[in-house]
Amino acid sequence: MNGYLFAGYAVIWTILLVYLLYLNKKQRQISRRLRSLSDSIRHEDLEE
Amino acid sequence: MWLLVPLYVLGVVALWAAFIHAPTERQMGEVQRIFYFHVGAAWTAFFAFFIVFVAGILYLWRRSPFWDEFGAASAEIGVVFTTIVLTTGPIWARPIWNTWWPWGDPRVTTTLVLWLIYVAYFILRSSLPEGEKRARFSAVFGIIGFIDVPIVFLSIRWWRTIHPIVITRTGNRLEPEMFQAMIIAVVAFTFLYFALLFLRTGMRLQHTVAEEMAHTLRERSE
Repeated sequence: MNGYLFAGYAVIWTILLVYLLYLNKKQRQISRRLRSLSDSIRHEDLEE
Repeated sequence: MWLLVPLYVLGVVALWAAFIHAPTERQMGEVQRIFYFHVGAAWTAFFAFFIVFVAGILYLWRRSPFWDEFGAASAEIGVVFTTIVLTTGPIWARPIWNTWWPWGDPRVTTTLVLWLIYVAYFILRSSLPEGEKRARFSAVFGIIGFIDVPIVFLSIRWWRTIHPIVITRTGNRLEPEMFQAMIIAVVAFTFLYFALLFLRTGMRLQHTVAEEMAHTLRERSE
């Protein structure tokens, strides 16, 4: 395969993969934050 | 998850069309196969920025935070696809035009400007606190920024350029199999765009809910 062609497609998949990994990391952070906030609200409701 | 199966099938079909179905271009050779995904990414970026434009109008009209998050999600994906265009372009240009970056070419320059506009959109968003003001400024910026999209598209007709004009008013200058491969790549990337938009908007709305919950907790503790 032509080296430039390989480089072109490698770049496309790398950019998409890096973006998907970024989204995955971001989603885990949001889920963790939502869980911790829900626990805090539930804890406060029980105290009241 | 339900989007993954058609996405995978479309991806495989697009690769088959680009590498097997489309014939090798006579002058450029194998490297011309970058064209299919390069054009697919460009189309998807244009479409993503059009959605930012529409979401901006809808936000200014309705003042619903949903349209702000929707527009920001689309802008982010648009920047990703423009990055693909700006990186695959030079890789294709080097063996064909004998340069990585033809500075005098209007399409290359206007595409770089497009990328910078939407990077600036995120710099603007990060410099303002979350809320109505940030959403309003972003909506206006997204609407004005879209002006560059038709300029990028028409630049090869308005100014002297080394970019080929593939699609004309009378049809296209591609072999039928090449045109089919290009359309399949466009459809595959458009589908990927919608999957990412669905995912990213959901995440942004979850973030908004988290901010509201944190605000409620702060109010209770005061």
